[in-house]
Amino acid sequence: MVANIKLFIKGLLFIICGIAIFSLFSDILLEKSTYPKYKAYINQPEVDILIFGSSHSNVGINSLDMGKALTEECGREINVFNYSIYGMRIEHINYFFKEALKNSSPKMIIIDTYSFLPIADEHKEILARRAFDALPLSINKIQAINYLIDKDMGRESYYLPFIKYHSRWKELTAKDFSLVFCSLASSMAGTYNQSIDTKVSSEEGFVDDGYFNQDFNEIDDEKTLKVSQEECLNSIIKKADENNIKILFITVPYKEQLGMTSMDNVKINNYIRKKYVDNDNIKIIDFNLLYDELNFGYDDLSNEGHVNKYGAEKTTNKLLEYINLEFLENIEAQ
Amino acid sequence: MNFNSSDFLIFFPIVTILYFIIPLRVKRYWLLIASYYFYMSWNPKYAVLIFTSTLVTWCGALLIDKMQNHKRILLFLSIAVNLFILFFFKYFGFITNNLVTLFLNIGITINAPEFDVILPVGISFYTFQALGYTIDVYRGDTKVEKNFFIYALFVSFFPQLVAGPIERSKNLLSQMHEKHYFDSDRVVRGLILMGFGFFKKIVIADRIAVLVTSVYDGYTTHTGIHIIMATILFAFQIYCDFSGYSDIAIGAAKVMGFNLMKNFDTPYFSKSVAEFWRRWHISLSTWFRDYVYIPLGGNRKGVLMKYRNLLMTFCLSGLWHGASWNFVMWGGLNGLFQVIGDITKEARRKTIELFKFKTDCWSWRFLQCIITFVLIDFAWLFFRANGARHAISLIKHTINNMGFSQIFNIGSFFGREMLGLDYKDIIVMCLGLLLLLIIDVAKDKLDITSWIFNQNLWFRFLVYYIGIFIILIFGYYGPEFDSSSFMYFQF
Repeated sequence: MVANIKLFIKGLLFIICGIAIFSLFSDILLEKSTYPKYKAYINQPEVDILIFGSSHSNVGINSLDMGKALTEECGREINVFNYSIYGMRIEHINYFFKEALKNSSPKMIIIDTYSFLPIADEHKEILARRAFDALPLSINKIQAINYLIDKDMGRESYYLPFIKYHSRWKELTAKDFSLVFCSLASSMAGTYNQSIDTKVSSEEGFVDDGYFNQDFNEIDDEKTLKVSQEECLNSIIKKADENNIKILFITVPYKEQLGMTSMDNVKINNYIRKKYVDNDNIKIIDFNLLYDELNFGYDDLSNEGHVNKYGAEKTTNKLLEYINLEFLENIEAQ
Repeated sequence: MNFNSSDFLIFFPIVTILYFIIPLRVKRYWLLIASYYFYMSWNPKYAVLIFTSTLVTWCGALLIDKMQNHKRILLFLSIAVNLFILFFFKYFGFITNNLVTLFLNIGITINAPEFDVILPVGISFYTFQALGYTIDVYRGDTKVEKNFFIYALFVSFFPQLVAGPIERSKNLLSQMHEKHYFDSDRVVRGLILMGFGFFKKIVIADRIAVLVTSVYDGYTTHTGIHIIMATILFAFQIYCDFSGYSDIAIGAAKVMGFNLMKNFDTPYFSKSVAEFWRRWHISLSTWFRDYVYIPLGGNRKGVLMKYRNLLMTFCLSGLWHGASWNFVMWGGLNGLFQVIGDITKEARRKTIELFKFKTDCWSWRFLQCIITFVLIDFAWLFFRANGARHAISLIKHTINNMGFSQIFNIGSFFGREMLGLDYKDIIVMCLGLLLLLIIDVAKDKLDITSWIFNQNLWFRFLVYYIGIFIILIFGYYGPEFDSSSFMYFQF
């Protein structure tokens, strides 16, 4: 009996140590594009406002500045974290939101509605990898992979990214180790470093077609969501409701990307506004309707799909203004 | 379900854990169900074939045991049914294609029937194992097995089902009756052997396979030196691939308490081709020796008959490996080397005496090993080629485009564009082969597993973790790679 117990303990010890080493190697070998953001998030003490979206909100919202301004306004620390990831769609956000709730209890989430762009088959893999590779294995991650990845695409390497990235031993650099071993300061709050001064208007052969002089307020068409998008959105709203979290939909200004124009986005926003937005917990602010007010133009874009640092400043300031007006009281009350 | 698939990594622990938990009397039934599930994971229809083969040989053996007066005809029937299944699925296309070509050459056009059948995995292995049992019962070398389920487990035992070792009834069938309890030392020894098998397969063999495939498939763009190098490396690829499979099979069986026969014994240390065949794929070599070569007369009927028997046995062995002339040529060459070796034995002895060569020293043995390796490796070219014509073209291309200058152009070997592997992969491959060499040299003098067992717990854990993570990190697997099956699965 004693021998059996000793054997059991030895076996257990071996498995636990093995999992720990596996987890460490897995982190080192991981392709690091989204890993720093995940690491920064889990090191963040507490998040009050969490931003989800694709590259549009990643480069378009300066969560660091937002946090500082709100902290000053409220007289206590307000943490804003921008958890937007390149290509993130509402389907990813649904599972990401559940994952985020494990580490913090935000009072508000902001979702960029460009994330309602449908997932093309050829982007399924790369988008799922960007979104979930950095996350540790959990029931939520397994559910997410099962929902987003077809069985014949080999889900094992999504559950355990080590299976895919083990061959990166050839290309490891000091950065791969420092990102794992150094405790990343969350001082950037997930903010993208908009250090390069690029303007689409400065490109050779640029002609202003007057796109941003149009008034999109006149568009009253609606574009319905796909079934999977509707499912995921309902799930997010339900989860937010259960946790008393407010939702703010935004659309960071852009012209066109991957076949979707900001005009299409306005139609999606109209649908969301009509079906989901209410007076208390769910709001929407579409920056495409505020070009005039923002004085937004080609000077504020680094390319047709993304704002540059000038555009990001305008968007962030307007968002701050809106949050101050609409939500600050509620956040304070909580 | 390949051994190097994620399915097997789930299947094996579940089967093993349940095997040790469930009551003794149902253990063998559990293993039988698991074995059939394992086999059906390739194609559920295959189960009909293995079941038929099992039923025929089991009934055949029972009848042989009971009806001694008719045992010859019963043996013949049992063998005929099994060989018919094997021939139909494996050789039908080969035979008809050759007949069509033959008739076409003499001006007669015939339309041979075509069947769209896929070669059932491991059919050659389990058919030979089942036939071996029937012949053993016929000869009175083994007792007839009356329990159908135990016999079915003997034929379908999953660790060795699809690529051997081809077990003898005397060794494995009796173990099916034994009670197997959990023994931690035995389990760990089995797991270590499995780990070593995985190392050989996914760290060494699959890495070499990239280079060999790149050179063999695009040989016209390579020089003779590259082809020679790829052929040398293929010798190690096939050794690591097949002995890796055998290690996993033997290790998996050991975990559950079964001892399978040794299948490889450092074959490239052989000093003659005949010795090589006593150390390579031992279970098949001895099968052909016991059930083909000796019944043909062996070396008992004079020198010429001995050579005929040797050549026939090796050509059949080649044909067993694949329904293609290049396999027959490969087998024939191995037989021919042995015949020539035997004919020139006296002349070689006299030459050694004349030049007073020292034969009781390391350098002589090393020279013998090298010569044997060169001969065996030349034959491997036929084995690896995609057909007899491809093999001949490879040889012609090598001779006509030797490219000796390439020997000094290191970049031509290591560039990714040239041979499919970059220098980091080449380094891992070389270190893997070096480790393999050290283990093979050391294992006669030191039982490495026992040595590990005598160390402290922390050291043992360290060794296991290093081994596991070397395989996990440096192995060729995952979505980035086209993970290749074990080569012998196709036979």
